[in-house]
Amino acid sequence: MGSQLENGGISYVVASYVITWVVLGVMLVRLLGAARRAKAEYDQAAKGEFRT
Amino acid sequence: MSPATPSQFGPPKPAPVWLGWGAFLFFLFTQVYAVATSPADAMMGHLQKMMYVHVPAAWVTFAAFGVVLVASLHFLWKEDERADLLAASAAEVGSLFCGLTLVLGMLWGRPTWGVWWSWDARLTSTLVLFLIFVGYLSLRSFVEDPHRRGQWSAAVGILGAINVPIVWMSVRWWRTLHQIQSNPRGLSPEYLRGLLLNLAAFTLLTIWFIWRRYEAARYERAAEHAAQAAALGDNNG
Repeated sequence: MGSQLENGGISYVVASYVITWVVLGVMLVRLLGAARRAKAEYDQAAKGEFRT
Repeated sequence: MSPATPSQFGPPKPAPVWLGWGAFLFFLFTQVYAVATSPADAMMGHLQKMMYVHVPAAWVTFAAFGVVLVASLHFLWKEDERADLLAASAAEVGSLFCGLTLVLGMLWGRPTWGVWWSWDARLTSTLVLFLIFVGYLSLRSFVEDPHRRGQWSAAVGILGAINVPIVWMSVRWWRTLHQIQSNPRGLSPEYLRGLLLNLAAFTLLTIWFIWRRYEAARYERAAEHAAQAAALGDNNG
């Protein structure tokens, strides 16, 4: 524990930022695609082309 | 009053793409700014910099579950499906941030407390909050009838949101490893600026995430409704 704080715990800090950026970046890209796909599906259904 | 259904509320107002990318770029700026401008803490060293991700993630978790609470109450009162879809969108985004808060807390705990996890009141109540909302999202995937799905998930959403003040107060009500909430007035300006900027950036991102998820949910529900209407038309014809 002591040695982890002696180097300032930099590896933990880096890990926390990398995880945060990846999670939020993936969420951003996923949501951009999700709304676009849902709209296309809706347009298709509204035209009566959609059948379940 | 008759409940609002997809055929009555039409297509949603789209969440601007520029707002999403703008919020993400602002978030990257505030992260770099906070890391670059805050000096190493005398006690915690550079670990203090984890405050700029862990605290904002926890804050937006609470805010998102607050949206779930308000939208769920609105759904039960007015039976407006839009409120149910908003609650579900906020629950999904809130669960993501709650999971992130837990992981970041573990990364903080290992070097400071010597353990990845401790069953103390703050950590345990946060885990319970996370599990309630995972249950909320699972419940929605099991129930097909939209009205019943809305009612059941509103009940779980309200129950989950009631847990938020318990999580917040847990560090004062019980003896915990987790420190009590920092008072912003007690923080040095070089730490406070970075924290406030990151709180703003996370809040903007969360607003956009919920808005965009809500937009997708509205289209998904409207498509489902249109498909049902088309199927009924076929049967009647």
